[in-house]
Amino acid sequence: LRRKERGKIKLIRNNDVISPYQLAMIVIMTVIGVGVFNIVHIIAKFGGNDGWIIMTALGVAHIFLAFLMVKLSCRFPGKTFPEYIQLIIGVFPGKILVFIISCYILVNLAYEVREFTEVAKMFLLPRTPTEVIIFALILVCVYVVRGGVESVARVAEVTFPILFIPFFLVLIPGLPRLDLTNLLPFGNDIGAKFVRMIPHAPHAFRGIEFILFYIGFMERPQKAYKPVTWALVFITFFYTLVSVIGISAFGVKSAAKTIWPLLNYIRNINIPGLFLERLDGVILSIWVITVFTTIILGFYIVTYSASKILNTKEQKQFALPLMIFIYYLALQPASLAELYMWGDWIFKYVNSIFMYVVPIVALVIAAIRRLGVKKSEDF
Amino acid sequence: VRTFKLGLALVLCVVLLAGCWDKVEIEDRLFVLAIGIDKAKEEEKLQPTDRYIINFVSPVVAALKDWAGEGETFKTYKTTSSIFTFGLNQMYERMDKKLSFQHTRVLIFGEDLLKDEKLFKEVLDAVGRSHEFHRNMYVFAVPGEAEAVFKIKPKYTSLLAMYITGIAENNVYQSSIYKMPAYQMYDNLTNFDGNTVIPSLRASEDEAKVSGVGIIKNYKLIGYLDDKDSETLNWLNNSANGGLIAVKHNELEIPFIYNDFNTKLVLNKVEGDKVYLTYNMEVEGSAEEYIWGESLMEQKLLDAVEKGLEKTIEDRSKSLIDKLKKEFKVDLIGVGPYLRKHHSAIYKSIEKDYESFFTNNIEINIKAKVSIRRVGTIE
Repeated sequence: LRRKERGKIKLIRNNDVISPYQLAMIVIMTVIGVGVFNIVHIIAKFGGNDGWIIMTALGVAHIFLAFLMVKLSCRFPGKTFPEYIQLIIGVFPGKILVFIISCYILVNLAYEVREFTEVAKMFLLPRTPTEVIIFALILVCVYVVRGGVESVARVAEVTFPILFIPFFLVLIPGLPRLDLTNLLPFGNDIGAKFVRMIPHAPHAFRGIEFILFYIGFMERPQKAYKPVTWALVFITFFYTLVSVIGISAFGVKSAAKTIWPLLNYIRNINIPGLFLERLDGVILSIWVITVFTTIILGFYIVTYSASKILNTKEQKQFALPLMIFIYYLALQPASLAELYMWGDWIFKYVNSIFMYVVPIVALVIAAIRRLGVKKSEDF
Repeated sequence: VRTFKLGLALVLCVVLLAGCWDKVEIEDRLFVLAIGIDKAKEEEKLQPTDRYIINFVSPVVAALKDWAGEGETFKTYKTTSSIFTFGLNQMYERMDKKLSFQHTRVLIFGEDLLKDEKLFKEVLDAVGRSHEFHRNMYVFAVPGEAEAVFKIKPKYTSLLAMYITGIAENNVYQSSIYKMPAYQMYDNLTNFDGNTVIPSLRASEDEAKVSGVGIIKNYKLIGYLDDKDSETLNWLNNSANGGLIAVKHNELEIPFIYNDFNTKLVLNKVEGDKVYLTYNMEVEGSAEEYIWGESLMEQKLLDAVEKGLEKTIEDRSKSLIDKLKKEFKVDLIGVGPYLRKHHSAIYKSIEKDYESFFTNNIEINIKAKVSIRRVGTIE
């Protein structure tokens, strides 16, 4: 009988189940967000010409970090973070923690929205009011989020090729112009650079903690190791590639001076004869997708957490009212400078707490209290 | 209710799909193809605060369609202002179109502007910071006034800007033309602390001529190199793509056409406080002019000619290096970046006082290897 039921689930996909492939797409689409153009600037500024080596090392470190998160989720199959944290640290403290995490994700999303708006306003829509851009963006996200976890996961799945195929294609024409000697000398003062770069790791990898929530929707959490690893390998490869391109195209000092080096790289592409130039418009409009998916994937977590805090069955009804908070928060920073200052502070201190400290402490407490399933059936 | 909903949808369509804030029809754009910036002289100032004379050129699109060598295909505009961007914005008082810098191809600086460090830095920042300019344009320095270039009526090409970019792109056949796109100038200025070269452009009534380069040291024009030296500079920087060297042999001048010029810089030894470097140059090409009745198909003769060519190349390179070391005291031949990239330990000890190190402690040797591969179609 059980087997039959299982077969049924596989035939008619339940609305609340996501596949391992979708999980990988979710990780990629959350982590690679609005900062794609900005990340090269940060890598060049703090990591210097070895930034790409440091980025690779950080990527590997985050794979192990993600393993800990998967391990935590494996202890509680079929449960998401807001559910099992109430088992680990108690119902009331758990609810408070989930509430704080939701607030922090909201702030992160507001940052995404605002940074997107500022860049779009500068290059694409200088006369369109900020409020209209923000509103239009979040409203679409609300619609997707109301569809539940499956529609959210499907959006991530569908947008992945739409985003990355053109993105890699656009990078190709500029490659012959790269001066790879700009990456030399390797490993000079790498220790100091590494130390300078570490506080900025959450900036690049923020969003991986979302898997604490999404693994709970998988049929078997043990299957999450593989997709999470591949997703992080892809992300690390992507960051390393863009930082190699950025640094070798401009030189370290010049890349650190530009706010969006990758965008400048794309703007500099000019193929005579083909009349292929000014590709920045193309890439900026594709880039909307990364922002869009990051917001959707984060916003779903917020509405879902709200439903778990208030013990409601559905999360739909929270989407619209919570949208107002993103809208309000996004309008707070006075300028791009203030936004980046806030962002820097939040990513350095707040994000690292929720990305590193919370999952590890939760795992330790769960292990000490011997909660959940101890051994996973398969790896 | 249904009719109401349908009606609402229709009304929303009318309101929301009507267009956007940022629509500018292509007919309403005035494409600025070349910009020239001069320091305003006392008698040219319309207001006492004026500091810049800005000239720019735009195509007359209607006349371009069937241009047969006559008729005006572009118009030049001139504006005077205290701030660079303000000068361009002032144009809106005089025209009914929107200026577009999407396809700007040429940026020309007048001599006086380049000699004024503050003004030059202001313009650099304005062009580099603006989101409208891209960095694919070619940069030129005009000995005299940039305005003179805008009075040229090119003979064959319909557009002045295309005429000038065409000359710059001829550096594939004539290496005395130094090609300097804006992105490279910006990267040089940032990475090498304000040192770069800008090709100099001279104007006559119906012709422009790119000849030699202006040397920018610490954001200030300090002198010019003639076209022979600019070719040598291309050799030393490994940016020569093709050109011609003449050598005297048996009372005859033999032109040697090269299409492959590879330069590699290597460190030989460090002795005391002196650093010995060698530029290894490998040149390949053909000799296609001698004298009627004599044969070039003799390896011995070719060997002798090659020797002569090697000596010419070495002598010219040495004299240019001497000039840079003694007269201008600026490293434009990539010694600093080479040491930084490949011998960072040495570079670190000399970084602070690099200028005096370059002039006093660096000994450069040139080793050229010329191969005449072909001699044309007759013996």
